[in-house]
Amino acid sequence: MCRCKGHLTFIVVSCHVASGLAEPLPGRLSEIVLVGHPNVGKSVLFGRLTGRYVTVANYPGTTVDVSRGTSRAGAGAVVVDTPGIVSFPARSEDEQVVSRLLLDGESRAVVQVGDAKGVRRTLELTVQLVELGLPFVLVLNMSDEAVAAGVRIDRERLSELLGVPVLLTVATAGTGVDQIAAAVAAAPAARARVVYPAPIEEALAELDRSVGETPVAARGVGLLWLGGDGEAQTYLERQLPAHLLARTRARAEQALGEPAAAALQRARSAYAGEVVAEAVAQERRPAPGVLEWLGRLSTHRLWGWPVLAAVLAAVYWSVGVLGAGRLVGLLENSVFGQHVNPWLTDGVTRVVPSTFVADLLVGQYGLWTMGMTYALALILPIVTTFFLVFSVLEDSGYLPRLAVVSNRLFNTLGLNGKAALPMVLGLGCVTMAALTTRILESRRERLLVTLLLALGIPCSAQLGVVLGILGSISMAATLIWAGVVAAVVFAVGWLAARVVPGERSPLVIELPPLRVPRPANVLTKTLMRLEWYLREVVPLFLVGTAFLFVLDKSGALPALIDGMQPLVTGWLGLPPAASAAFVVGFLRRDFGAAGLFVLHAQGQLSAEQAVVAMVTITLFIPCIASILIIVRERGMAQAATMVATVFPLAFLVGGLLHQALVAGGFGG
Amino acid sequence: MSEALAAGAAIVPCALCGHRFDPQATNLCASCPLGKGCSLACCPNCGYSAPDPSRSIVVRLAARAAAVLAGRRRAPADPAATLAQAAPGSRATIETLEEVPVRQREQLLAYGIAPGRVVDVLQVRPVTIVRVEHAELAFEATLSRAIGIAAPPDGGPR
Repeated sequence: MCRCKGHLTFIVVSCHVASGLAEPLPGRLSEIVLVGHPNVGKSVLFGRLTGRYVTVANYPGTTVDVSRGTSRAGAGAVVVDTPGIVSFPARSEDEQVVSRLLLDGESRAVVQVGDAKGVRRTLELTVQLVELGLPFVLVLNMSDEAVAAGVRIDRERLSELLGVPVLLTVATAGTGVDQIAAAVAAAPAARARVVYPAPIEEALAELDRSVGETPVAARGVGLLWLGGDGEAQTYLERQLPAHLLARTRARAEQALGEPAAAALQRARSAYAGEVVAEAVAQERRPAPGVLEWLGRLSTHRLWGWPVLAAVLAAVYWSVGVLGAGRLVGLLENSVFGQHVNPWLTDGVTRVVPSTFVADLLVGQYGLWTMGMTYALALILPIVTTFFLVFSVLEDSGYLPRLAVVSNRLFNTLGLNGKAALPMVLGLGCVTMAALTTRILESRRERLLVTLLLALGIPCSAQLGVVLGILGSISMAATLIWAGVVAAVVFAVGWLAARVVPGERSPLVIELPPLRVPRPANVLTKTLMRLEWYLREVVPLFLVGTAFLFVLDKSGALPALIDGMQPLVTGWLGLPPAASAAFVVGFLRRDFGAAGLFVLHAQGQLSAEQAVVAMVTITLFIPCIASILIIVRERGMAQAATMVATVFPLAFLVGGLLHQALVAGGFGG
Repeated sequence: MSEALAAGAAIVPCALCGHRFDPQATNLCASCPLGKGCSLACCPNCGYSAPDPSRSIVVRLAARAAAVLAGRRRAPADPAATLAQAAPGSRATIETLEEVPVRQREQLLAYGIAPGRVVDVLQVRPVTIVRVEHAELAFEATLSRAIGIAAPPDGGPR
């Protein structure tokens, strides 16, 4: 008898019997959960099923939290997109999200999304999901790629052998997606088909006798627990005494002569192998194409570096030259500087009788002339070009290859190449990247990468401003900035790796095939990120501007500038006006950088001062939003430690650089 | 000294007198006025000097190049080999993961790197990249050195 909660209590089947299909479930499913390996198209499918777009990309770990949307076909059923899971037990924080979701007791159906090119691997996870006894549908996605790779799948035979509905889809094109809702509606509660060695079956029987009501099939919970899943362990510990669990496991493992997880894996693998042998055929593999050759080149120990240099050059040209140079020049000088702002200033001054209100809108610290102009004329063109280039990179599948090339580099920081993914994402937005640290395996690695993100990874907006200013000075200025920031990041990372206890985990990462990005997805993703940018950044820029306006009108700004003079003018060697930029830099460092950009454009910053100012503001904490995310992800104590470390360090490094540049005669 | 250059062995025979000695253990260098930064090892028996691979960057690079060239001409991996020794482009059957740390072993098993499975070795440096079914997996040499392989009946370069 399966003692599952909710509508599953209607099912009178033995979860332990390995044959036949159950009757379709009565009642209504509250949720349809999309589960599967990383990078198999779950998020694309989620978009197709719900009409809601979530960020999709060609690398594992794009989704680190669950997304919910209402199914367009399933009479109000909620579809849940989950982070990829390699297998149970869950290892990283994003995988634990899946484990927790499946065990939380809600009634739901599971749709496993798998790669049609890797059926055997997919089935090893299928076995684990089927054992949970929930209504289940297997969707083999990317079936077009499977056909191209010579993989022939007998769908009906596969369905028959597994005892669950099997569908073939191409989510990006929408092929086969319309069948999913119907298949889920008619899906029976899945039944486990793998019979394990006797000691494991005995342990499961013992658990079955002792455990009460379970959120999914008791057999599934027991198998997760025997496999070492932490969530299942926590769940069972709430129901059963610890000594009983320990005794059950010890007895099974003693009889097996090995850890239960190993025996489980072997049995599942053998089962998957048998099923694949009957239902899947591999025809002759086609010859490698240009993309496969490029993929090899990008991870080659020698050629990988020129490829990386070419990618960086493309990013520099797009963001630094095109975005920060030409587009900003066009918008700031021509559109805003010569047309929009003079026209608006003139209009507001004539229409609004109050000088105070007119100043608030179009004065020196005006909401439009400063806040909106910075956001729209300075930052927007830069982030637009960056998001466009970044989306192309994401969808091409290059980013995991970057992890391979940079692995040795991260080794010196006590990390592995996987850390490159959140670090590169940090160039887009540090707030989002702080969430992506969930794909890293240990708490130590997540902490180290979060610290480096908070310290020295400039987000796209700031990167563009920095490249815009320093690029106009000289290549040497850009190299000094990059060298100092990189040196600080590496020094802090190296030191932190030796202070934070724990061991480095070796790199294991799946490399998706290189693909030509789909323009529609690149554009959708870019527009979605721009929308997010405008929603998050514009209000903060307006708040920062209003803050400066109030300080200015109340006479506090000159006092603040005077107060900061020993630090900003004395220690950093910058003009007093730079203090205002640093004040708003505490709110968002790209806002501060934009203020410094304007100072430089007005000729108030020398070459040496520009380099010092850019280094100092780059080493600031990115923004308030990122601090909040770091508090949520790493806790208040660690976040406070980071903030208390980063700000003084930024000013310390800036001041030392000022002394060094003056001593070296830079810019003189 | 060429024997030492190729193998990087601790004990080397002198090319002149045949005396076998450990270049690291000789105390001649301490009394030599040119000893500091010198990349030669002197035979304690006859005083003949020859390059010591462990001290010379050039010789080390030459030894590495020789090893790479030797690797290209290497036959398919022998039954006792590890995945780290497999030549790029070859095919290998996984024999054991016993030496792989538990956490990483579970990961590799989940990706299909399991005893009895055949993998295509695509690259071994800077990290090992193998193809299982149609999925490519990259992992560090510390792991590939712990994965025992056997050459399959149809092994060798594809």
